[in-house]
Amino acid sequence: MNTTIFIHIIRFIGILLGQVFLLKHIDLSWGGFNYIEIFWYPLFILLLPFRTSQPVLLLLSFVTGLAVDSFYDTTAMHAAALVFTGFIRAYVFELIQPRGGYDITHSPTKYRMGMPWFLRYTAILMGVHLFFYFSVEFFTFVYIVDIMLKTVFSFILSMIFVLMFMFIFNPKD
Amino acid sequence: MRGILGFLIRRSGLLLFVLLEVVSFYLIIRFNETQRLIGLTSANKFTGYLYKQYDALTDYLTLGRQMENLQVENARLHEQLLIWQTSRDDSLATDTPPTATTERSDSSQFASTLRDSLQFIPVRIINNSIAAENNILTINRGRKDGVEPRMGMMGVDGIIGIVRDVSDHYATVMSLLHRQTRISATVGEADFFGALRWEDRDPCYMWLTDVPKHAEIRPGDPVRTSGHSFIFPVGILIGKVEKVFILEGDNFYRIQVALNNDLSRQQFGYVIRHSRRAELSSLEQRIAQ
Repeated sequence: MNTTIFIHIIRFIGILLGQVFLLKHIDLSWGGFNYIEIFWYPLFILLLPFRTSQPVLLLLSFVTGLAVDSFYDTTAMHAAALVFTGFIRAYVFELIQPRGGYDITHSPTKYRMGMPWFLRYTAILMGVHLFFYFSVEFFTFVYIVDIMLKTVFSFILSMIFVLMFMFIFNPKD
Repeated sequence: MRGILGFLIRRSGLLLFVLLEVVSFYLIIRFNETQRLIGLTSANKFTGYLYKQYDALTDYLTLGRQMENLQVENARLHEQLLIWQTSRDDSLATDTPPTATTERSDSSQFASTLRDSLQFIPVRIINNSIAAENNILTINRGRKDGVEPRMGMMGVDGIIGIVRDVSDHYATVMSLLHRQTRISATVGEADFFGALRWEDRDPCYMWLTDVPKHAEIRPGDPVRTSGHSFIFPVGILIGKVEKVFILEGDNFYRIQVALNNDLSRQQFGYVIRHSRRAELSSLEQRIAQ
């Protein structure tokens, strides 16, 4: 039990440092085209064990989001998006439940659930998260085209880094 | 109570979610310039919209009062128009040869003092009929507003009737469409005058009698108040000559007059108050004695 918590703390720090010192500095804009931002920090919330209670999940989402915000100078914008992502995580579990159901002692990882399930799971939540985040960033649906473009391009790149993380570390829980 | 608590516990996740989102969005708007500005402007748009709706509502609710204000304004304009017309008559009078000037300007001065002493009291017709044998209107102004019996009442495009009975806040008006109505009216260029009365029960027409046969009257000639009775000022348009008859062996015309205003559709009007009424009526009474 203690090791699980320890693992998650380490993962939290690792994902956060990777986000703000590595991904933040990958500049993929050229010309006037700056529709790409890479975010993998939702992965920390995505990988929390199935049995994590909803209040804990939400509070962790809020804290993680604020931590990212403090590096990006975007007070509470990532927090708002991540709290939403954390909130709908349970509903996504229900939506894509495999035939055998879930073993609540496990975590929703590639190792435990298999690649197809994990891909669907992360794709849904990352898409929702990015769309929510960019909506908050523009703060008005007047720029819905820009919001959609940013969501799509950032989604592709972010998913690549999320999957790279899973292939490199391939955590059990 | 227990139910509410149970609900809160069951829904703690949702509540926490809502709470955290509210906090987040508060922080976002508080600390991010772009979002703050957008938030402010949309708030302004929203409040602006609300204000507009509220305005529309209050506009509707205060319509009555606004209408009254407009009516008061109209009454003032009517007074000023009369004064202006009089002063124009005066300036025309100065063009006449010097010998006649003194007399003429005396009379027009008299006319202008008469007109200056007119006051229009805006009233609203709260009861009206046109179908009866003798039609009576009720208006929403009475003695306390300066309305007195035997004052004339006019509408936007013609005269309506003569005040008969007055209470503190209301008055009844004998409509033009009343058997006893006699309005002194002039017709044609030469200002022949006669008595206007309502005979057949058609609310659009009245009859002008007592106009001598030697007057030249054609259909279409305007019929105006003569000002002889001091009930109405001089020259208010009543209607137009529709048909002219002379009964055999009679020395007077019988003229059918089409009324200028539709008495079935009047809602507002002005009671004409003469500030020298008392003086005039006491004089008239002395003559009568």
